[in-house]
Amino acid sequence: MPNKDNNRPPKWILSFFRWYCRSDYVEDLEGDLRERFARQTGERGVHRAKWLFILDVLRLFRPALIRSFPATLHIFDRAMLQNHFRIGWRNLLKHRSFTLINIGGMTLGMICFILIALYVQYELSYEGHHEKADRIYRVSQIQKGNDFRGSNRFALAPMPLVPALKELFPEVRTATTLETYEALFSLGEQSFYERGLFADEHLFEVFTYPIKEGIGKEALKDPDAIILTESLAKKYFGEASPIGKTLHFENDRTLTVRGVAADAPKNQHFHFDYITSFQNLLWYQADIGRWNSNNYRAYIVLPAGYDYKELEAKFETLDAHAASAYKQYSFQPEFFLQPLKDIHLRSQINFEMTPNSDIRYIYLAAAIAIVILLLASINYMNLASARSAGRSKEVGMRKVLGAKRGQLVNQFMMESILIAFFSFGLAMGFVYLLLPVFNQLIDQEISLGFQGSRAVFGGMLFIALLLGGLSGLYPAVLSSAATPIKALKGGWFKKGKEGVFLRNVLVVGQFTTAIVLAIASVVIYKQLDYIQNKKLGYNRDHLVYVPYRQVDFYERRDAMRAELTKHPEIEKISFASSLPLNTGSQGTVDSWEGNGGKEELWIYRNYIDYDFIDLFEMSLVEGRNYSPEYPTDSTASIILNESAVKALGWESAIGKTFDDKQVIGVVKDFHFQTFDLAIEPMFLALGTKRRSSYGNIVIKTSMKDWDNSLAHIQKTLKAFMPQIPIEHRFMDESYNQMYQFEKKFGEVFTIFTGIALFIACMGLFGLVAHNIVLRTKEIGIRKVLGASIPNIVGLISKGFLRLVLVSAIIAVPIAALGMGRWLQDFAYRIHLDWWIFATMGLLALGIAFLTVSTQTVKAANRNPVDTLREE
Amino acid sequence: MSKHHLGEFEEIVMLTVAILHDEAYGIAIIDEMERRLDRKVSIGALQTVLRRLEKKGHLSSRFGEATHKRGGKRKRYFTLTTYGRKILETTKEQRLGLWNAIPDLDFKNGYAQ
Repeated sequence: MPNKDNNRPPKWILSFFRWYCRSDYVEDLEGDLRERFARQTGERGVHRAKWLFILDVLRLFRPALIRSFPATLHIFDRAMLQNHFRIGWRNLLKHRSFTLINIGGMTLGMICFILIALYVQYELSYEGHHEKADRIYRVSQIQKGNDFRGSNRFALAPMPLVPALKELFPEVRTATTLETYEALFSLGEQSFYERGLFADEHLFEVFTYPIKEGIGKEALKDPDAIILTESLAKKYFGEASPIGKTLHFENDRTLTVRGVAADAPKNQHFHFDYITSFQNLLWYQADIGRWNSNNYRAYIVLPAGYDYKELEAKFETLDAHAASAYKQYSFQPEFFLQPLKDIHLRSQINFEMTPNSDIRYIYLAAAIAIVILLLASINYMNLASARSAGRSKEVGMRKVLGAKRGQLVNQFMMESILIAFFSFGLAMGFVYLLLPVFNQLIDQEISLGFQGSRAVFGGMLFIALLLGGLSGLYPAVLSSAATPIKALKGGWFKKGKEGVFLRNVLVVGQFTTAIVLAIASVVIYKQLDYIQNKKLGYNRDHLVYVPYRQVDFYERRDAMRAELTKHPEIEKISFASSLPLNTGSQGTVDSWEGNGGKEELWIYRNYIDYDFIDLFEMSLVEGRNYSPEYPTDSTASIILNESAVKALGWESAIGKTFDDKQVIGVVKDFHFQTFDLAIEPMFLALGTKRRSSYGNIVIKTSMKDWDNSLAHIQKTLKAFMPQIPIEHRFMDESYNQMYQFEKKFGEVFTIFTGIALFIACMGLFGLVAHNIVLRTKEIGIRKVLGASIPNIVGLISKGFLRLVLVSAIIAVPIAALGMGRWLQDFAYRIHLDWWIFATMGLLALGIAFLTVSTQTVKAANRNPVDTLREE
Repeated sequence: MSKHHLGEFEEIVMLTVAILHDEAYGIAIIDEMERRLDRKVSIGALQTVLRRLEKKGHLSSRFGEATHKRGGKRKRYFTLTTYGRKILETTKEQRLGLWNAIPDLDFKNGYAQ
């Protein structure tokens, strides 16, 4: 045989087999295994045969075939166990600071890991409560050429889509059309906006929402019926059964409660407080049969094991249906499928029902959790082995008194497993206490009850025990291998060259991570600060706004304005269809001067009034604002922003026509969306009656005597719009809310960075302590020979600080690259200045120096008589 | 009779051992079962059952010859004991009794008429 060694089963697994197998079975079983291996090699090649061999051996690891293990480890010797426990406990108490650092560091690491793991598990648990979750898909569409906020994908579906899907493709088992919408409800005097799920009667065939009382499916066939969730039923009707009671809907009709559904879990990608037929949507009638009525969401259920790509490939026929409705557009929709469970983390397309998270953040969170746990584990092991270095006399004594090797191994292992276990218990307690704080920090509602949290705890316990075992192993094996004389002389714990190198690598790794995280958190903080303070092009202070819907008060606007401004602290009022927070209304215009109707411009629109531009303190680049002095303004004038003028390729816009109106002014670009989007073309037109039923009342106040002004505002609005709830919001708060996620992210990131740095320092502290223990005599001799204290401090510190410096050098390019990529997601961003890197590097060095010197100064100050006396 | 109760897998293993007569060792049994029943069997599962049956006295075993392919390790051949054979026969009779007790079976539709 040419390649003899290669054609044999792997040696290690064979010895494993021989080790565990019952001696009277080992011969024929090994023969069987080998025979099979020889045959598999012939049939499938060596590589596969080896894998199968390993699998076979692992499958033979069964109680019936395993030999019985004699109690060589004496783990259950009660007297010894008690002794180990007592000695271990005394040892912990004797070195209090060590114990504190060791347990504290491990506990801290575990707390971080468990919390982050819970968060990750929670994010991954989305939609898990639906019985068919793995088979449900959302039908979304691509509109090539219709770019909106940087994407041409839309999470929307037209009304005829679901019936067509069912008809064309038999593999679509069931499907539902739905939409969430905030509708106005009133009961007696009270009225509220409530978020509801408007769906067809197949909803319950697709999604799992248990009905507690009354009817489900039948209620969706009847547009006069409504199903409340338990909490909404309680809000309106208290403890009494709501079945048969009525609610006034959209100031228009009366709905009868026919069912009560359990509250839907928070971890799904849309939220609602009641379910009713989608026929109750205002635009339902107009959308029947219209293929461009993109006001709905479509969900389908496919057979188990069916590859949804297969269905997608057949969608051409579907697209053809839709195409006819899009004749006058420059684009056509193409439908595609998104697995339900991917939506929360992997779908970032337009018009998502709620803002989704991003799988990248999950990866990042998982990475941070693992890094922190790794840092803590490295420390734990370093410290544990360092601590045992001081115990060589004890080991020697035990050996002289007849301790067996196994007993010593046992003792060390038990001690370190005890510490690990203790840390785990502490960590669990802290997690329980800290979870509410953590929830507030990350703005989630994670409870310990959800599925998957048990896996987190189980995993943690396993890691803790493994860690305890591993870190006990090193000193256990080292000490037990030494001869009693060597151990008594204190010589068994020599610093081996390889050991030092490994530890250096670990320290560099720890500090590199900590510095990268530190730089990242500074950059995140600075970018968020930049966003918060960047000139927006408008003023957002002292502004309060009240959104309203479906009220017809266009004629009474002036009266309302007059009444509101009667209050001395209220300065200005404006009515606008959108606010410069998150303007979403966009459309096309194809008529402007110099365009023969060939091109079209996508442009954001905002319908305002005479006071809008003044109230927001926007400035005009040229032209003038709308004014009541020009009666034609309301019908024949328009104001553009700079970006629109630029997009049209005009030098000056004044006097030109756009959308059949005359441009009278150009407003300086202002941010009307979040900072990850560049400013795009927009026009500001005067609001008309037709557009007035939706919008916002913006109020500028001096903010003095705010309670009084608010009372006046509420009284006035209630008088003018008695049928809708008045909810006032502050402009600057709403603005900050847009960046809430980034802000939370920054905060959380900073906290975990601090912890990582802290843990890294603890590791360094432990190592220095270890180093000093080993060099006690050297320091003593140096002092006798005349070394000064700074000499000695420098001598020991130098090596460690060099490691931190190396870490800084490695960390800077990594951080620069990573943060550069993060910043690219923002259309408006800060520069990565060199000083950020320099400061963080120096900071790390400084902290490391402080950590090191607390130990070295102490060691250098010791009297050489004390250190040299011991032999 | 519950003492003599055989599991489904146990029964199949014993039958296969009986079929192979004097040639029943680990690999051969697996091959035979895979061939006749189109059923994947892992060494671990089979060996556990073989040893259990041997312990119960249904099977007996002896060492056979060693081959080069087996790395010089001997085979262990299994044979049915008299007791084992009796148990198999009892099981078969019980089954047949059950089958015979079914009134007028319509095999096509799978239910009795």
